[in-house]
Amino acid sequence: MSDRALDLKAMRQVRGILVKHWIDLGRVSLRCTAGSLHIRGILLRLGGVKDPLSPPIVQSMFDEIKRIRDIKRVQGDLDNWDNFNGSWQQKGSSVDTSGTAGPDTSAGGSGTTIDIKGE
Amino acid sequence: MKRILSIDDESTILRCLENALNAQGYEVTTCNDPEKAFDVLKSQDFALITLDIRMPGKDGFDLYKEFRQYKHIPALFCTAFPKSFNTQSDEIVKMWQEEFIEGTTDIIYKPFDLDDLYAKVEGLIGPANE
Repeated sequence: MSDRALDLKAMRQVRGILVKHWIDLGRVSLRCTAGSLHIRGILLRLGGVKDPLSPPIVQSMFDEIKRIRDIKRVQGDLDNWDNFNGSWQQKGSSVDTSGTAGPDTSAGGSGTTIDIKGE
Repeated sequence: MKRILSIDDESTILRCLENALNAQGYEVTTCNDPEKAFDVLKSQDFALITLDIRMPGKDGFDLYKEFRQYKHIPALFCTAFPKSFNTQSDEIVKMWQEEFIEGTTDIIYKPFDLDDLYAKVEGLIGPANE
């Protein structure tokens, strides 16, 4: 399988993991090049999900992503979550995490890039 | 060249998608009548479908379910209404758990940056020339 086909397969698996955790796909953007995955945007659950995202859930989600065979490196550039020394924390910024934002909800990406899984 | 079918009742959105995706080398077929979309889908081999949600007659979710029964083509929902994806709807929960979980469906909210559109499309089907 070519690198490109492996990247597409990996992104399909990543989307599946995000969906499993009820993440709103419209607020995140994925890129995967030669096994290096870049996730940017706002990590937010779909409206109507009772439990909000918590650090353990985010950790578990990224652990699942890191276990994807063809992903060698994971970089996060999230507007509303940060990773400090391996621990996830929600940023206390003015990012709208209510799930009720208007149409201007492009994937954003103004956060700091974090290496979550190095090669 | 990869073919994309774009379905939206707003012609301006279709023109925008067509121009943007053509510029990346994709061949785009547009359809502004959701009632005719299934016939268009069957007429050619498409790599991806982009779907509006709120359309007169048949909404994007109905079309998506109809399409997925016919063929599991990757799909990208393009909507200005993030609240459309709400788990208080049993229909959404079912689609999310049975179809989205496969990882071949994505969402982009209008208005969107072209870079985000390209990332979503390439993330689903790869570049046009491969």
